[in-house]
Amino acid sequence: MMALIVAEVAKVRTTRLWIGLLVGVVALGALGAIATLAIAGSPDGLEAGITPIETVENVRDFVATGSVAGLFALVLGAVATTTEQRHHTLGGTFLATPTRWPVVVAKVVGSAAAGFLFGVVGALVPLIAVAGDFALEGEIVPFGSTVVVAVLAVAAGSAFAGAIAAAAGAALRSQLIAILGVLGWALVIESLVGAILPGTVRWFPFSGLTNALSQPGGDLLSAPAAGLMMAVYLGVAVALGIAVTLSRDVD
Amino acid sequence: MSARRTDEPAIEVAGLTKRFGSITAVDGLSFGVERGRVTGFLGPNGSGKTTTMRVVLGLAAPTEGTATVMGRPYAALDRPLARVGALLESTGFHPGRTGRQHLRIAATAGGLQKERVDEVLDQVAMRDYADRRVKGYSSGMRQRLGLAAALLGDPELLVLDEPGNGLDPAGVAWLRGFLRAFADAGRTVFVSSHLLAEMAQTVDRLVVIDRGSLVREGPVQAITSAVASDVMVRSPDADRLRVALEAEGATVSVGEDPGSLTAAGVAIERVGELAAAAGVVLHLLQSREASLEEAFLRLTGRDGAGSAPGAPEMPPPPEPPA
Repeated sequence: MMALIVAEVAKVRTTRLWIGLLVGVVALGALGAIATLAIAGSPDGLEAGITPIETVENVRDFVATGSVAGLFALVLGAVATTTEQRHHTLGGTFLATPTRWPVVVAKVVGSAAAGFLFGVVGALVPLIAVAGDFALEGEIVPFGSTVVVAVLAVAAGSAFAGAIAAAAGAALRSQLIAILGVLGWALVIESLVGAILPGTVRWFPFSGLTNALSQPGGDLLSAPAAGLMMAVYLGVAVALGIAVTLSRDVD
Repeated sequence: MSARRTDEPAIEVAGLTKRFGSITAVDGLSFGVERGRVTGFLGPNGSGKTTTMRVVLGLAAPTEGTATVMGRPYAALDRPLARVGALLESTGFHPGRTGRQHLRIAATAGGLQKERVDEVLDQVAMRDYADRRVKGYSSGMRQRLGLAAALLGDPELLVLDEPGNGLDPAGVAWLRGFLRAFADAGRTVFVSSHLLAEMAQTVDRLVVIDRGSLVREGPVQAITSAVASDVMVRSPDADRLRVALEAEGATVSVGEDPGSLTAAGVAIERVGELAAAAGVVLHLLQSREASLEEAFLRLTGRDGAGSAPGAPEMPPPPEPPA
């Protein structure tokens, strides 16, 4: 299994897509962080609910905005599995590993690893931005273990996004449908359903569970319960991906 | 683990049927591929060759029947790349990776030594292009990379689907020699190709299929001589001999030279007996073995028999399987 995971990570690493997506994580994260810092505490910012960053808890919540990395991890995960269909490389993959389920698991693990990296970078971007902002004022940014936990929580949420997208991609033939499907779910469907039925948000994979890790409180599940639900979602997605992969003829 | 019989076929296909919806791509096909031989797999476009190979390699599930490699389903082989090397027409490469990256990833996934990557790149003369992205490769270079991937595990069996596609003449000549040497070393090759002249020079045995069913299986020479050999005759009394031959059921064509005939569907010995019985003097009695191409066309009913005289017509392509 380790050899398969190494091979799947190499497949991601040897194309340029992950670099482009990582640049996107940094660019979008930096843009959001600079914009937030620019208006934090100002009348416009206060009107929008953006309070000044003064405490460790404020920094922790600011770091959690790095969860935007999960969107890029979704794309990477979906591409990791569907690109084999697109470029007709799945035959070669299954000639090397004819027992197919370990391939799906390795792709999920590899995508989770890439998602974790995206999440760490995504969380570090606002942290570095706010640290720089404090440094410009000659001050040191408030820092504590909760900030470290928030970085790890963002990374875990992003890893989950990469993994579940890879599993979903294994069940689909079309790369475009896989990408639009996972992004549409995270950005559109969860928002729409959440607006109509607010009580359901806590059970949603992205707006509910991943946020429960990085921004605990409110109506969200506790972190352990959210982690358990994420494992259930992932298990179902992986089982579906494996079932479809086993039943499908390869071109 | 029980010991495997060495006389066991390298590939054994038994009662194989593969349907795609209402279309039957392979229909009750059975044949074996002997070890230590080059076996050619012939059939018209859409006859089920690639589908059969995909089932043999575990990439497609049979609707009925079985296909085994070294006595087992492909999926049950331990370290399959070290047992079987395969090149399928439909297999591709990610255009953004280099040739070397493709091979390294395959070696990692297949549990093979990384040193094999450079060895197979040398074998297919691709070392100089190994660090270019595949999107810059010509079709011949892609084919060589596919062959390198097939050879990566130093396998005992090669399954190759149209390996000569895209290769230049030097590449085709290299491939011919390589496959011959591979089999002469006691290993096995199962190869499909449309290059019948190349096949005739390379293969020991043939499996010929049409519309998903077996047409003929056996040594090349046995098939060409049994299926498509003609008897050439020259006689000062050719008309009488022609009548005798046609009465025997032979198909007789009159040659351009005076008194020359070509008879198909009758053994040379019988021609001699018929001439003697009719009191016909013969100036020439010679058998002409048909080429593999002629045998193939006759076996698959695509030899133009029954078509109108004049310019030959291209037969319509068969319906694709899916």
